[in-house]
Amino acid sequence: MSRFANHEVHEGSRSKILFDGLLGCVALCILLSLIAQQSAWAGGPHYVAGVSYFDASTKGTPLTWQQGIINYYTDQGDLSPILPGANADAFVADAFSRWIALPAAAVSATQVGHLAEDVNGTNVTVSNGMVTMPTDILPTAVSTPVGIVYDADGSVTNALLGQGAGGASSCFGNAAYGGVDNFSTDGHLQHALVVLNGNCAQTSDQLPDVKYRLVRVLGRVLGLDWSQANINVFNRSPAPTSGDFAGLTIMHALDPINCVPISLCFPNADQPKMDDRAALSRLYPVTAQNQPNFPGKQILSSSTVRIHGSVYFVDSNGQPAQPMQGVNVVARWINPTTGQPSGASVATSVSGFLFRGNAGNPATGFTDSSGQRLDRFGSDDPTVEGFFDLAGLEIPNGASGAQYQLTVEPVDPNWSQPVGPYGPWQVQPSGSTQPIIVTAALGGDTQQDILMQNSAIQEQDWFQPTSYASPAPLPAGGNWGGSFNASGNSDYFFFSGQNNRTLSVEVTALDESRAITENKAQPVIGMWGLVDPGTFPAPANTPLAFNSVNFGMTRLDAILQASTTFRLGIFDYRDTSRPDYRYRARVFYADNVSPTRASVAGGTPLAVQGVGFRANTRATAGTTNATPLAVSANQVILIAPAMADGVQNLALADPATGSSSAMANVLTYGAGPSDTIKLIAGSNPATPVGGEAANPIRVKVLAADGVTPVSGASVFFTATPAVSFSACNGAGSCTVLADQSGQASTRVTPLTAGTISISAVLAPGSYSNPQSVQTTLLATSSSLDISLPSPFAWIAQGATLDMPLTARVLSNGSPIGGSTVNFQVMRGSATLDPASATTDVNGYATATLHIPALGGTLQVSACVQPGSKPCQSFSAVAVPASSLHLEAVSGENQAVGVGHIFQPVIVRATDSSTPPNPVLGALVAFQETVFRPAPNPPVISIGGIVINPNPAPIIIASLRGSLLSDRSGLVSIPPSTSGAQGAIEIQGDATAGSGTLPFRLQSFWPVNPQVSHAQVSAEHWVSKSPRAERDVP
Amino acid sequence: MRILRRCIVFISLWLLLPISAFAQQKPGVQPSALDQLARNSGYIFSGTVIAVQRPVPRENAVAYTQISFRVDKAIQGVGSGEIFTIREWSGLWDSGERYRSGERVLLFLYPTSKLGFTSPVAGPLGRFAVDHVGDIHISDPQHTFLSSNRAHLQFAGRTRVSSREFTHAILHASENEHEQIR
Repeated sequence: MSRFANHEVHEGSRSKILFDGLLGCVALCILLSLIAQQSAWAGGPHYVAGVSYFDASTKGTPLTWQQGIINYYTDQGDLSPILPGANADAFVADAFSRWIALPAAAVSATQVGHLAEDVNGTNVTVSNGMVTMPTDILPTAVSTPVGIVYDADGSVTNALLGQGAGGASSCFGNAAYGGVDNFSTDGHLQHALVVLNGNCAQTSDQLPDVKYRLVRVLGRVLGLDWSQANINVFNRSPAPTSGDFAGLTIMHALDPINCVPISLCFPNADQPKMDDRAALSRLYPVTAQNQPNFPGKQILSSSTVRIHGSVYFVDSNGQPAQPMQGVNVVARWINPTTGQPSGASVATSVSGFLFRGNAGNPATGFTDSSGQRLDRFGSDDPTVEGFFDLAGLEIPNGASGAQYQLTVEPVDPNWSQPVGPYGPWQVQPSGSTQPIIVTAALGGDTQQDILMQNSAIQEQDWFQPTSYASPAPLPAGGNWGGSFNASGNSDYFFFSGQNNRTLSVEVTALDESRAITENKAQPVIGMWGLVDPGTFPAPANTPLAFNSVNFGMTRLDAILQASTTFRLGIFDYRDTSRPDYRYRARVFYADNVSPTRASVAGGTPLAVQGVGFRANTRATAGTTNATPLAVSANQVILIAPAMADGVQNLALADPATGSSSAMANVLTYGAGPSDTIKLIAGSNPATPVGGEAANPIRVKVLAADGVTPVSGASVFFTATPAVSFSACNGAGSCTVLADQSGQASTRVTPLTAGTISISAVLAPGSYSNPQSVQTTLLATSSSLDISLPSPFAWIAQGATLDMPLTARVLSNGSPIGGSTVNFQVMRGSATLDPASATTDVNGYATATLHIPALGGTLQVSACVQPGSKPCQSFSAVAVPASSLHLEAVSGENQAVGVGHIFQPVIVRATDSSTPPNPVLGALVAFQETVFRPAPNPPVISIGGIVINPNPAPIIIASLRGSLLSDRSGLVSIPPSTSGAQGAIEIQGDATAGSGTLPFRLQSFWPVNPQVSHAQVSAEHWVSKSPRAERDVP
Repeated sequence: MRILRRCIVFISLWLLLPISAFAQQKPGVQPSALDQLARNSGYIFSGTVIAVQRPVPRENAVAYTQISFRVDKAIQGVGSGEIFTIREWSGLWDSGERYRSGERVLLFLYPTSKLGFTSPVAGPLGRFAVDHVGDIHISDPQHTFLSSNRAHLQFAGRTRVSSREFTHAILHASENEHEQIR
C-alpha cells in the first residue's frame, strides 16, 4: 500500500507548484483530482459477433451502435419530486455526457424526444393473461432505440423485478438498471431499455449515487463489458493506494454494498477513468473518416498510444505456442518523475476478448437455456484467441512519448466474475511473466506479445486424435488421464455395455501441475450409443461441471438401456482447449457376474467383471452388503451374502467418490421365478407306521431349460398327515437346500396309518404360487411289523467292505424291544455278524454284513423270531467301474480370506441309472495342485492396443489320493494347502469311473481400501507419460 | 517547508479518505444484511434448477424467463421438495442473471409482482451458489455484504458454510428483527 501511496503523492508533487496555507492545499487537491480524471481511460466490448445469427462478415466484430449514434427517448413522466421531467432529462443527458464527452470516442447521444407515454404501474401490467408494457419500450421498438423510463413510484420496478424491488431499501441494486435487448444481424446494437427508480432520487443527497449507477448502466448500453482495473481496491491484495482508487474503472463488475453513498468508497465515482475511456474509444474510435461528424474530438490513433499483441503459452523451447485466453493484461503509465507505474493511469484488456468464451459442447449442447446458440457471440478465429488491445492509452503529462508497464493477472473470480470472455467461470492463467516495459510515442502502435513463462506445455494424449466418428477404445482398466488441448478438445471413447446396467464416469479437472482444480477446465461428460449419428446434447450428460461432492470432479451417472457399444465423450463446458486443461477420468462399470447363481445360504464366490474398480470398492446384493475378497481394476471377487430365493440386483460402489454401478436382476439366489422342481424318486411300497420308507424322496431343481441343475435353492418338504423327515431331523417339515447337483432328498417315516401326501415345494417364501411336486406313501399298521431302512444298496463292483444292516420291529407303530431278528444271506457271497440280533428299546436290531469283493447281486433277509415272520429283504447291486459317475455336492468353488480354512469338497458317486443311485464303496481318486497366484500386473494400453500380461502362477505343491464313497455315495475330499501360507489357489479334480469333477479353491489377502489412494497417486504419475497410459488395477 | 510538509500530510489524508472509508465497516452501523435480505424476500430457499425456458413472447408482450427449481431446503415461502417455478423479466437474463439446469443456488427472492415476476433481492448478492454437498458458497462481495451482520463474525474467512448454519443465521436474523419490532 505504501508503495503506491507514495507514488501517487510523488505524482502530485511533480506539478512543482507550491501553495501557501490550507487554501493552497485544497486547490492542490482539486488539481490533483482533475489530473486524475484526465489521466484516467476499460476492458472491452460486451458483445462480439460470432458465427451464428450475425452476418458472416461481422464475425469477430464488437457490437456497437451504428455510427456511434444513440438516439434516446425519455419518459413523459417525472422521475421524482426533485427531478420532474425536464430536470430528469437533464440528469440523464449529464450521465450520457460522461461517455460522449470522451475526446477520442466517436459516440453521440441525443434525446430525440419522449416516449409516447408516462411509463408507470398502470401501463406495465397484465392484460388477458399477457404481460404488457408500452410498445415503444419493448425490445422490438427499434424506432425508439433507447428508452429511458422514469419509474416515479417504483411500481415499474416492483412489477419487473418483484414486489418490493422498487422500494427505497433496494436502491443499491435497483436505482438504475437495464441494458441492451436487441441486436441487428449486421452486428449492431438495436435497442436498449433503462429504468430509473424514482424512490432512489427523493433527495439531492441521493442523486450522485443514482448518477453513478446510471453511468454504469449507460456504459453497458453503449456495449461495454465489465472490466478489471485495480482489483486490489476490492480484494485488498495489495492494499490499495489513493492512486488505485483514482484509477478504478467505473465499469468494475460489482460494488461493495456498504459503499452507500458511493462517495464513501470511490472518488469521482461517476467519471470514466482511463480504463473506461480507452475501452469506449476502442469501441467507437474517432478516425480521420468520422472525425468531421464529431467536431472537437481527437483521432484516437494519433492522440493516444496503442499496445496490442497476444498472450501465449510457451513450448519447451520457450517459444510462443497456443494463445492464452482470459488473462487480464494491464498497462500502467510509468510516471517519469518517479519511474514507477501509476495506479491512476491504468487500462486493461482481457486476452481473447474477441474470441468466444463459451460455444457449447457436444455433451450439454450448443444452445443456452433459452435455446439460443452459444456461438452467436465471439469469434472462432484462433488468431484472436489470445489477442489483447490496449489502444487509447493516454500520456497524462502531455509528453510526446511514454513508458508503460505491461503486466498480467487473473480475472478475479469473485469481484470480476461476469467479466468476459470467460465469465462467469474465470480461468486461472498458466505460468507467469515479468513486467514488460514498453516505450511508445504518442500515436504509436506497438505490438508486444506476452509469453507466459513456465506455462503448461501441450502434451499429446495417447489416445488422440479422437472424434465423434472415431472414438478411441476405452482404456482396459477404466482409468486414464487426458487433456483438452489443441490436438483435441473433445475426447471420445467407446466401450461395450449391457442393458439394465448403470455406471458412473468420473472426470476430475487438473491443472498443469496435476493438482485438482476448479479454476481450469470445466469437464462435462456425454454418452451416446455408438450408432447414434450425433444427438446434441448427448442423451446422457452432466448439465454442469463439478456436480459431485468431490472437489474438482464431474460425475455422470448413466443408465444403459441396451446391450450395445457406447460412445463416451469428455469436454470442457465451454469447448475450449488449453494445455493447462487436464483431467483424470475413470469409468466405473460392472458388466457381468459369474456365476449368475448363488446359494440361498450365502458363501457363493462371485466374480464381477468390469472396469474402474479400486480396493475400496463396496458391493451390495439386493440390499445386503457383500464382502469383497479381492479387487483389481477389472474384477471384484466377493462372497454372496445369504438371501432368500429370487432374482437380485448386484451393485458396486466407490464410497470415496460416490460412483456406482448396478446390474439389475443379474444374480439369482436359489430358485429363480422360472426354475422348476422335479421329483426324481419317491415311490415306495406300503410302509409300516414307525418304519422308514424304503426309498428316499428325491427332487431336483432345474433351470428353465429343464436340464441345468440349480444349487442352493430352497426346497420345503411337508406332508399331510405329518411324517418324520430325516432331512428335518425328524421334524414334520423343513427347508432343505438343493446341493450343487440341484438335488434335495429326505427319507420318510410315517407316523400314522393311511395314505400320506408328501410335497416338496420350491421356494414358497419367495413366490406366491410356488412350484411343487407331490408323492404319496401308504402307511400301514399291524400288530407285528418289520422295517428295513435303506433296503437297497448299490455297491462298487469288487468292493470289499462291511456295512451295517438294521431292522426295526414294530407293533402298531410302536417299537418292540427284546425281540429277535434273524439275518440270512439269501443270494450272493457275504457273511453276517451276528446272524441273529435282539432289538433295543427303540425296536432296532443291527448286524454287520461282510462283503468280500462283491461280484454280483447280493440279497439278505431279516425275519422276526419266532416263526420267521414277518420278513423284509435287503438287496445290493454291483456297479461296475465303467458305470460310475460323479455329482457335485458342495465345495467345488470356494473363495476365502487368508487365514480362513477351506471346506471339504464333497462329491457323490453314482451309477448310470436314471435317476442315478448312490454307490457305496466307489473308489474316488483326486488330485490337488497348490499355486501361488502371480501378482496381477497392470493392463497396459498403448495406442489403443491393450496388453494384458498373464504371467504363469507358481506351483507350490501337488498331491494325489483316493477315498471310498459311503452309503450315500458321498466322498469328502479334504483340501490341502501343503503348508503354504498366504494367498493361494488349489486346483484339483475328483475322478470315479468315467466321471470327473474339477474344483477350485482360492484364498486372498484382505483388501486394503487405503490402496485406493495409492492407485490415484499412481494414475497421477502415469498420466504424466505422454505416450503410454497405464491402467492401474 | 513546514507549510509544504503540512500540505503533503493534508493531501495524503485527503487521498486516503476513501480507503479508510472503505475499510471502516462497523457492525450495527447499517441494518443487518441478512435482516435486509430476509425482510425484502418473499421466498428463501436452496434449490436445484431443473428447467429454464424462455417462451417466445406474443406480439407486444413482455418476454420473460421461466425457471423451475426443485426446492431442496425451504426457508421461507416455499415447501421443501416442491417444484417451484418463477418468472424473471427477460431484461435480467440479458444482464447476466442466468441459470443453468442442474445448477444449485440459494435464493432470496422478492415476492412475486403483479406481473408474476421476481428476482433475487440485491441482485447477485441475493443469489448464493450451492455446491453438491449442499454447502453455501459465499463470494467476496457477499462477504462484504454480510459484513454488517453478526453472521460476518460467524462466517468470517470462510468461503463455504453449511446449509444448516446458513439457515440458522437467516432464521436468527429474522428472529432478531422480530425482537426489534416488539
